[in-house]
This record gives sequence, structure tokens and C-alpha cells, in this order.
Amino acid sequence: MVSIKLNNVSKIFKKGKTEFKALENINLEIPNNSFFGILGASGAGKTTVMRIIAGLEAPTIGEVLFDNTLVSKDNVTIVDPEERDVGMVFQNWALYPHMNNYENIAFPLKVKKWTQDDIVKRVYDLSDILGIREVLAKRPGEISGGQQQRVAVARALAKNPKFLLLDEPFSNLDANARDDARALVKKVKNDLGITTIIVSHDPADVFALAEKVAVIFRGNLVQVGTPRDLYDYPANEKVAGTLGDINIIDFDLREKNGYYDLIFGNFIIPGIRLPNNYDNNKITAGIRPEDIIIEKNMETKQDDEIQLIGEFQVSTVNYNQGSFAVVLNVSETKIKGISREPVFYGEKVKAYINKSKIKLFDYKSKNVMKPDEELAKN
Amino acid sequence: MSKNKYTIFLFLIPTLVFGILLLYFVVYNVYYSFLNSSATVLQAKFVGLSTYKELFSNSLAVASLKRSIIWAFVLIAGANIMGILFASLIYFLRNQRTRTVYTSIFVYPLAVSMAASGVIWTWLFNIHDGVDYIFVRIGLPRFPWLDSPATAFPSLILVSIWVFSGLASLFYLASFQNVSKDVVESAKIDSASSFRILKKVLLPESKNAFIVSTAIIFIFALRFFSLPYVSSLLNPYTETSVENLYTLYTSLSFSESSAESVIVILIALVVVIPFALYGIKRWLAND
Amino acid sequence: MIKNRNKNINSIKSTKSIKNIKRVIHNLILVIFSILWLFPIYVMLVDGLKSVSGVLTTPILFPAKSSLGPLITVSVALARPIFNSIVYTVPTAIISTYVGAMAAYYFYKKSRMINTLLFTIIAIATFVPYEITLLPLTGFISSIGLFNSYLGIIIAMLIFYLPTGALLMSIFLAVMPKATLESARIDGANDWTIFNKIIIPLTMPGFISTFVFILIESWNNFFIPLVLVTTPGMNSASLALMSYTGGYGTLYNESFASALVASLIPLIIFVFLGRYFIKGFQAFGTGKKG
Repeated sequence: MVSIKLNNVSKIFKKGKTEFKALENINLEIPNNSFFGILGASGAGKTTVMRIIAGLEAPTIGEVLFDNTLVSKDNVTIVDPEERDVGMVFQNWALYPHMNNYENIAFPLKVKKWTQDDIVKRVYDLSDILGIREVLAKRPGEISGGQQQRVAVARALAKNPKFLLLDEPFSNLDANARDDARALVKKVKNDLGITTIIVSHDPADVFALAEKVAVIFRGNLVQVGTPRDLYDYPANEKVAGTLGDINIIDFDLREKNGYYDLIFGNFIIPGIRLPNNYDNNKITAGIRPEDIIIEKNMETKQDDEIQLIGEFQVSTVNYNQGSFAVVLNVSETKIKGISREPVFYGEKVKAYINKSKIKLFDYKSKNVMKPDEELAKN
Repeated sequence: MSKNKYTIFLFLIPTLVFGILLLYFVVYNVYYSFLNSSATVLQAKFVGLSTYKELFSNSLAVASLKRSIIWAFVLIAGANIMGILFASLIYFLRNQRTRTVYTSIFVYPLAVSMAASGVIWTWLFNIHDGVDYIFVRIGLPRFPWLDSPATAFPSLILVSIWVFSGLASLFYLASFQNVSKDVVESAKIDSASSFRILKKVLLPESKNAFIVSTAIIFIFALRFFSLPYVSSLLNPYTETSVENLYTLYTSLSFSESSAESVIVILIALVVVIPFALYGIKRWLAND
Repeated sequence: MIKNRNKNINSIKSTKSIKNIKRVIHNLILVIFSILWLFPIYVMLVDGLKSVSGVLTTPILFPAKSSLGPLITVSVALARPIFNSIVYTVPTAIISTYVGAMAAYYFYKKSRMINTLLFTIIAIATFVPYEITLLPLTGFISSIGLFNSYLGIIIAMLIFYLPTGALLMSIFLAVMPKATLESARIDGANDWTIFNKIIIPLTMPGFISTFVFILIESWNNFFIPLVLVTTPGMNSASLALMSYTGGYGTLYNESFASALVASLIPLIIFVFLGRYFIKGFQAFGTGKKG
């Protein structure tokens, strides 16, 4: 069990003469025993962070510390991955196809020269925890994806690593297997109390598992916080998008008694407070689809937060797990909302908006501005 | 620094040592070709290019160099044509097993040593007991094969075509099989003839096969030694350049032999270097 | 109407029969060329097993009374050269493949500019016509006191076939997913363990291809034994064929029997492991697994 620290880590890849900056000046501390998530779109650099922690890459600049031991610094790997004592589950699991599952799990122990008896006991114990006892004699190619992943987790945990790295561990599983796998990983982490880091592009993974999340965008660490913080108070437009579906709209502003109306065609959100020093006649706002409530026949009760803002035409509808994802056509732009009742293409529907959940971003910098209640409180 | 950075280098060392030794041999030949070392010279000394002058006035050596190049080019033409023929005949077979059998039949000569091929074909070219036996029975003239200066060399070229056509067909077949099945299927639905599919769809996609088979066959052709050596020992009309440099060596004209080696390696490098670079691009692209 | 239908049926029938004719021609051409290509095998078997009276009364192309005589005579004479060839080629092929695979692993793991250069050197070394090294090679082998020795031949062959092994194994290794190697490192394995426990088992088909390719190529290598041994007891199988080249006055049954016996090992390997040999050749040329 160990805490991990990245100090000013940058990583530059060279391919021929072109340089590619994968990571820029990352500072990160992953506390002991935590379940930590690293979230980002593909190509954002999150896997590079994990590979640097594992020792498969050295940071071009900067240092990596385990507790207070320097493991790599400025393009030099001080402690090789084979000596870092980490467990890692690869995206496609990277099981050894020529060994059966028992041998796969036992491999790190054989390398460490454990005695035969200890190896047998350890492999059986882990297989029981992970429910793969019956498939030990088979090869990885002969079992399901979900089982392969469990074998990979067992192999990663076999040698009692200092911490566990999970690289997109669920992306190769179908939806059902994914839920089971998440539950299992959570259980293993709780039972063994091991520091665990998960890298994923899927916000669902970090919402389900991580206590703390770092969001990486184009090689930059943009925000660290609990999943809820990040979801509700994203630092900028990009973080908001990384954490889940969101409508990003540029509104015109119109002042009315110290409050502002946000205007986008006939999509008008009234009564929003802005900081006093905001001096632009436009603003960028992020509204998650679940905060735009679409109704045809039902009536939603309005209050301070939830307000009817008008009628719009339905462009497309998708049924998705108990609700309807509706796309409205507003001034040639698609705006996504959610309906609890079926609505159809071309129909006129009412749209309500949850004003308290609107994320306001500075029009120029696209950085977050505190929501109006917070402004009122301050 | 971690210790593993050094152990991995140990993996390369043996191959590197032998590879460098081989390149050292090549460089040594260059050095030696500027000396005048031979049986008649007690103390060899640096003579610049005069050994090369001597070599180029040696008509047997010049003829052997020309012959090697001609052999390479004629074989490249012959093997490519036969290779395309075999590859297309095999490609349009439906049954995978039949394909494998025919491929093996055309490729097996590569597994037989050129020396053994030499022994076999020398007898088949025998003007009394060989294929001429049939020629005479069906009223054709007796073909002189290895017995005449004019036909000995072409006869050996035929043997080499027998050996290498299968190799060329392998590369073409691989290229053909790379062409999307859908393209070929849709051409078939348009009721294009096999010949047309070959001409319009398969062959235009076979540039790589042509480059590879040409380069590989060129490299092999420059090495031809045992076939002429076994079938017509020291026959000046079939002698290749590597045979000639061996003859020069055995007759103790060491520097001249080295000079001829240098010429051969220069000819080889004209093909080898671009081909190795071409190959490396593809190998690295595999990453 | 009925006439028209008949016409249609007739035209379908005729396209069908045209197709059949085409198929027959297609197969006929293949059969003719196969006969031509297999002809040397036919004469090796027919004439290598021909009795002396058969040789005197029939030409090469026709079978006659068979006898094991020539085969036995030749086998006795070629036993030692064949043994020598095995001693020359089996270690050469094993070492070239295994040690070449080690170099391939190095190139696989490290991919930097300098390694591209080293790799280029090895690729060029693979394609150098080895005959041109005659003078320095004989000089080198003599100077280390290994002229006329098994070890001398093996070392000389390694100089040429080790780069081949490295090149072929690099090609076969290139398709292995990097994650497998990385996962073994994370599992704590050192390079030696990774190479023996992961790389070699996972590239076994490529390993066999490389081994078979080098075995057959070195078995058929005529030149290296020719220039590095002088005592007849050290002759390789290919070299020993020189005494059966024939000419007038010799009996051809022994020539064919000798060619058969000397080619038997590579031919048997080809029959059983031909696809590996073919893959080796394809990799050699195209840099692909084939």
C-alpha cells in the first residue's frame, strides 16, 4: 500500500521529426488506499499517465514518487516496472494465450520464486474470490470476456502488489458483463484495501467506482475532485463534456433588473444572475439533457428552479432505459432533453429547464463561473 | 540506471558480432583488391586500381560477370512470367487442399540443393539417354543442351527457372489473396472472365510481388555456383562470376579474386540496399 | 414462347458446357506443368532404383527392372557426408534461429533510430552473396585454426545465417502485441524469462519457419564446405555429389540414387513442414508472416 505522487510530469513522444506532447506539467497525488479515477477522451493522455506510474514509460520531464521513493525522473526509469511491484489489468487483458488460466495467474508468483504450495494456495484463494475456480484448467481463448477479465484481475493481484492499475478494464465487455465486473472490482478493492487507479473514457466507470477523479484533457490535468463535484461543477466546458452528455450553447445576454435573460433564438432562459464584473454580451452555458424536461401531455410543476421556457419541435427521439432522449430543433441547432412519456418526430412539445443546474462558462475563456446562488451567498 | 537496460543489450551482441564480421569481410575484400597479392608476388603491396585493370582485361572474368547479370535478368523475366502463370492457375482453384498440393509441387525444387539439381539435369540433358531420346523418336532434331557452347548456358537458365518459378508464384499468390474477396466476387457476378479479373483486378495490385520476387531472385542469381559447377565443371561457357572468383582464388590470383568480389558486391548492393530499405519500411510499418 | 424457352435453356446449357470446358483446360494446364515440375522426382525414383541391365537397355525416361543395388552402394558412400551435413546444419539452424530470435527480441523491445540502423546492417548482411567473402572467410577460419573442422564450418555458416535468423524472427515477432511483453514486465519477469517463457512459445510457428528455412538453406549450401574443408571425410552431402556427376561411361542409376539420397532429408522436411518453409520464404521476401 502506497501513495503515488507525480511532480511536474510532462511526456513528449517523437515520431520521426514531429513531436507530440502527450502530457503537460501534470501534478497529481493519489492517496494511500484510495480508489482513484483518471478520466479523459481517447488520446487525452490518461493511459500515458498510467504507463508512467507503471514504469512502462518514463516522464520526459518531472518525477514520480511512490511514498517518498523516487521511481522515475527526467527521462530516466530508476525503478523498472518489473521491480515496482504493481498489478495492472490491461485494456485487452494481455493474458498469455499459450498458458492456461492457472498458469497465467501463477506466472508472477513463479517469477518471484514462490514455493509450489504457496502458489497453489494463492491461485485458489484468488480464484474463489473472483469466481473463476472452474476455468483454471482452460486457456484464456476458451473462456468468456468477463471471465478473461477476472483472470487478468487475479493475475494482477496475485503477487500482492503495492497498488492496482486498471486500464480501460471494462471497455471490451458487453453492457451486462460490465455491471458485474464493476461490482466485482469494487468488492475486491474493499476486501483487499488496495490502492486502485482506474483509467477510463467512460464516466460511468468512475461514477460507479472512484472516490476521486482526475480529468485529463489534451495532456493537461484540468480538474481533480469527487465525481459529484466534477459532474455538477465542471471547471470548464471540456470537463463538462467529458463527464457526460451536455448541451453547450452560446447565448446572447439581455439585462433586466440586475438579472439576465439567456437568449438563443426562441430558446430563452429568464432570470439568471451573473457576476457583477462580467462584461460580455454573450455567454456559454452547459445544460445536461436531464435538466431539460420535455413534456407533451404531462404537466411538470414549476417552481423557482424549474421553469417552462417554451414550445419546440421534436427532431429525433431515442428510447433509452426508461426515458426518451429527445432532440429539439432550435434555430438550426440540436438541443437534447429528456422526456418520461413517448413523443414523436415533428410534434410540438413543451420544454422545462432546471435553472439551478445550468453551468455558466465565460464566453472567452470557457472557464466555469460560479452559479448564481453561490454568488448570492458570497 | 537500472540493470535491465544493459542485459537487454546482451541479446543483440552475438548477432551484431557475426553481422559485423560479415561486413568486415566485405570491407576486407575492398582493401585486398587494391593489393597485388598472387602466387607470383612474394610481398604484396598497394597497387591502387591496377588489379581492377588486370581483372577487366581478363576475358573469362569479364564474360562471367556479364553472364551472371544476363542470367539474373533472364531468370527474373522467366520466373516472373511462370510465377504469374502458376499463381493465377492456383488462385482460381476452388479447393484449398488442391491449391496447397499444386503450390508444393511448384515450390519443392527450392528444397532440393542446386548441386543435386545439377546432377539430375545433367543426365536429363544427356544427348543419348536424356530427353533427346524422345526428341529423336518423334522426329525432332537432337538438341545439344550442355554439349554445345551456344546451348549450355541457356540450358542451365532453364533449370534455374524450374527452381525459382515456384518462389515467384508464392509472392504473386500472396498479393492476389490480399485483394479483397468482394472485389473479385463482384467482378465474377459481372461475369468477367478469369483472364479479365487477372488483368484488371489482380495484376494491378501485384506491384509488391513483382518488386519482391525480382529482388530476391536477383540476389539468388548472383549466388549461382553449384549448378554450373556440378553440371559443367569449369566450362567457360557457363561460368558465373562467383565461380570465376573461386577459380581465380584456386589459381592463387588472390587480389584479382577480391577485386571480382568487390564488383559482385557492388552489383548486389545496387539491388540489396534499396530492397533492404524498402523492406525495413514495411517491417517498421508492422509496429 | 416455348421456342424461346428452349432457346434460353439451350443457352444456359451452352454457358454451362463452356464453363466445364474452361475448367477442364484450367486443370489440364496445371497437370501438364505439374508433370514437368515433378519429372526430376520421377527420374530420381525410377532411375535411382534401376538395375545395371536396366541402365544398359533403357533410356532415362523409361522404367525398367528395379534393384536396390545402386541405392545401397550410394547410401554407404554418402553415409558419412550426410552425417557431416547433419553436424553442420542442425546446430547452425538451432543457433541461428534462437540467437537470431534474441536479437529480434532486442529490436522488438527497443525501437530507436540507432536500432533502425543496426537492423539495416543485419538486413543487408542477410542479402550479401556469401561467395564473395571467399578470401577473408577462409583466411579467418584458418587463422583461428578451424580449417577442416566441424566447428569451422558451423562458425562460417553462422556468419551468414545468424543475420537471416534475426531478420526472419524480427518479422515474425513484429505481430506480437506489445501489451503481452509489458504485462510480463509488470508481472516482474526479467528479459531472460520473458524471452524463454513468453516470446519463444508465442512465436513458435515463426520459430519453426525460421529453423526449417535455415536448415534447408544450409543443408543445400555447397560453397562453404567446398572452400573450408579439403579432406574427403569432411565433405557435406551436396559436396559428395560431385563424384556422381556422370558423363560418358558412368552409369546413371548411381547418379540419380545419389541425388535422391543427398536430397532425402530436405525433401522429407519439405513434405512434412513445407508450409513452414514456404512461410519462411515469404517472410524473407515480403517481411510478412505470409
